[in-house]
Amino acid sequence: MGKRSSPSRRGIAEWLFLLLIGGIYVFLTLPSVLTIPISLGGSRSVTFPPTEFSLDLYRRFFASPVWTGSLVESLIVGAATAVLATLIGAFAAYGLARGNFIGQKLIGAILLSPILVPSIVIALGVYFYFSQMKLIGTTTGLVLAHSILTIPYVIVVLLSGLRQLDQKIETAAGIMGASPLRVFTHVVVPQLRYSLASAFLFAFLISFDETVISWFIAGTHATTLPVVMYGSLKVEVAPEIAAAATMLSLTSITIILCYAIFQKQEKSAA
Amino acid sequence: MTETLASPPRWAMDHTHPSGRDAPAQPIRNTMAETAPILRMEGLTKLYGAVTALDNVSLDVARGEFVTLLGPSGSGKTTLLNIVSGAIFPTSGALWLDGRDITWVEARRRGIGMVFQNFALMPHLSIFENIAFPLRVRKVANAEVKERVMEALELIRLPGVAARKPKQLSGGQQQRVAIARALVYRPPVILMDEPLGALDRKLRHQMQFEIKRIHDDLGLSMIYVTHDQEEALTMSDRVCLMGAGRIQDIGAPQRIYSSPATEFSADFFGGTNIFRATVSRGPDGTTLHHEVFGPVLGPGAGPQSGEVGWMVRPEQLRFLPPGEGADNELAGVVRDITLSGQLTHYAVAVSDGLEFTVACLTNHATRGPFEGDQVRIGWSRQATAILKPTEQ
Repeated sequence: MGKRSSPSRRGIAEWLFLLLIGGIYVFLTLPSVLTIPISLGGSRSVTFPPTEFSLDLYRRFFASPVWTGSLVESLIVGAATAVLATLIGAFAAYGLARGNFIGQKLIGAILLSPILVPSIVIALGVYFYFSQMKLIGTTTGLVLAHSILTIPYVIVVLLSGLRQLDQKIETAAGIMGASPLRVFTHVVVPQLRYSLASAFLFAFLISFDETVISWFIAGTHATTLPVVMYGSLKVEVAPEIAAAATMLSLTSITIILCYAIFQKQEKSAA
Repeated sequence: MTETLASPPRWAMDHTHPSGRDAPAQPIRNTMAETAPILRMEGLTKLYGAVTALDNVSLDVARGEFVTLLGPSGSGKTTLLNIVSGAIFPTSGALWLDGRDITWVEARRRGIGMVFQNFALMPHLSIFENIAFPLRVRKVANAEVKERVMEALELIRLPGVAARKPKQLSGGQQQRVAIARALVYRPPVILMDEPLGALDRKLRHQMQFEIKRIHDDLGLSMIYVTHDQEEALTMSDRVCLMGAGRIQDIGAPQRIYSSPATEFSADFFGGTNIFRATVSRGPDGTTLHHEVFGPVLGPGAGPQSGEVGWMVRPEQLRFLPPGEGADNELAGVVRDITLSGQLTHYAVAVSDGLEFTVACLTNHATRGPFEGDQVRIGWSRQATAILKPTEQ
């Protein structure tokens, strides 16, 4: 094979391999993609393929205070979680990346551990803990619980961002008289802005579609969109769920696109 | 002055303060004259576990002096520079800046300027704001910031780049900006850590002159770290040659090159033609006795007896035309000829296994000897440098 192998000259094995990858891809995405035509199929029957085209399900979604209320709650919790997790995660990541203190590795491991713990276990623990503190059924409770879950992801994103920075720049700023806090706010944070934006979106996304922990904590007042969707599945399949699912997916896709753009910006800025 | 007695800050990267030892009381130095050194290092030692990175180094830097720390990697030059900048703290020893004990003072409270190999400019700030950074930290008024940054840009001959970002400048321009940034707050001492290491050869030469010009114009006190001997010899008032964590030789470039004090020093500056011999005193100066060459005449002063190393630089040797003599003469055969630009190096075998390198200016009109030619080489007694053994 020469350097300029054209697609038509691919071997059989290569075609089979592409077919396999394509198959896996379709298998993984088809369930979420299917909800889109269903959500546009009108309210009389939730079926695939849809028999008519209508935005009726979306109208019903936005007419129902339960659905819209949960969407707003999800957005509020997601935004608040993203702010809190990014703030805490930024300081934690900076300390872990640049500090040199006793117990550094242990603290790092503890901070990252929620990634490894099954979310049902976190949910149970948080449930008992928050019951004592009267945080069940509150937005604050949801934000705090989601922060536990998202901080490790924020730290991982920011640690990789910090690794890209030239540490000598921070040393130089210190020699020029800047205090450690000023170095962080004026030198590190501006250079890390794309990583911070990525971490923020990532945290928002995790919080936005988190179901298990929210189910335990939401109670009756602070129900997020996934919790209402899950609840409506248990009782009777409300047709609006297709519209809700589609909007959830589209939000996620939008955020992932933004995330990809920030990552690209970061690479070109470095 | 209270901070001079403080122990290293807790957040610092490194704190191997000798346990329980308080810093010595500050001597009163009100009588300091302008001739006192701007920077004084006394018995600086740095241990990393069992490894001695820096071994009892003492060095004074005079006001307006350009001192170069020269040495191979692992020689301790960077460790010494880092102790001066405040990036690390010494295991023992003391450091004074303009009469103030700064041994345990945090880097940011020392007020020293520093230039790094990879420029370390802030990519998110314009050139103007990069140079203004140390002034902003010092809360200098806006009007004065503007004036001083523009002045610094004039000095580095880049008046038009204020609005650009570092990435829009070439490597050489970025390094000039880094120099401007280190000058703009008028630090008493400027440190440069291999500042030309990231530049290509031609640019390096230009920048050597540029840095030297700025140094001379402003009368700066500078410590310059490099592993490039040519750079050290070209730029410095004094070269401090480091090896194995110690100062191996220190002096003016001329002296350190022509009569190196130690074998390490001779070896570092193009180490060829280094031999050993026993000393005997003749009527008109030192005479060395080499077991193969016989007597070798050396300079007037020298050790009285014992075995020493000696050296003669390749460019001090010349081919003797028939009938001409020299203080020291040897016969040999040309084994190998290497052209390296301005100089041509001849390897001349004088005896089995013993070889001299002779360097001559490359001359197309009058070619030197050819390979296999029988030649006589000679050198003056002043060109024989007697060496102290390397301290380990």
